[in-house]
Amino acid sequence: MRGASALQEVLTKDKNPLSVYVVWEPVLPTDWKSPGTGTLGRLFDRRVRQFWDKEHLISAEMRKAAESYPSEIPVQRRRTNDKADGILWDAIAIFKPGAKWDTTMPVPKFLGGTVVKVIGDVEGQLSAAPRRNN
Amino acid sequence: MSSTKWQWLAALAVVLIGTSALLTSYLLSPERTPAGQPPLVFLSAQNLTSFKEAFNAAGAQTRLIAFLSPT
Repeated sequence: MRGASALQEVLTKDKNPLSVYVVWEPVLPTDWKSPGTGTLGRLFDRRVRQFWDKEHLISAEMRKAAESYPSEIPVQRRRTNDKADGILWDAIAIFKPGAKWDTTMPVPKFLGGTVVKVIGDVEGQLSAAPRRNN
Repeated sequence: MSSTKWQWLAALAVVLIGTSALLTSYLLSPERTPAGQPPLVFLSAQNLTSFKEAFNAAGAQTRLIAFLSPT
């Protein structure tokens, strides 16, 4: 939950073109229900789209991408129990302009967590990102 | 049964009914995203392509995906 608020603070400062996809997923024993209005309200930036991913589908897609395309980012980064088959969570992935999801997702140029710990890096990545659109 | 016991039972019933009503209201209330955002999407294997399409449609921009748990 602190991660969501930290990300919103960054979005409040960064007004550049950006698309944000917030994937809420059940990980903890208390995550037995989709996020409520109060939780969703923590990320109020208009560039945000929010999803409830009960089956961890996006996490699985990210795993496929990491396994398909060798990169410096290990598959198990930010996954539960540090295992490749774990759930990707409390993490942020950033994709550069032009990166396309074809048969698999593109490999992110940045992947890190916990969100609170890497939020400074995220801010730096966004401020340094090339701007190809408005 | 004494009147005190009846009073306790009545109070317990009121508490239980109130708690149930609050819980039901919480569980059934629709999740609302903040103003200006699309409604919350419940992802499934059937609509995963909508995420992919949205991701690619914004391909000219930097895109950020945050993976969070609700609690």
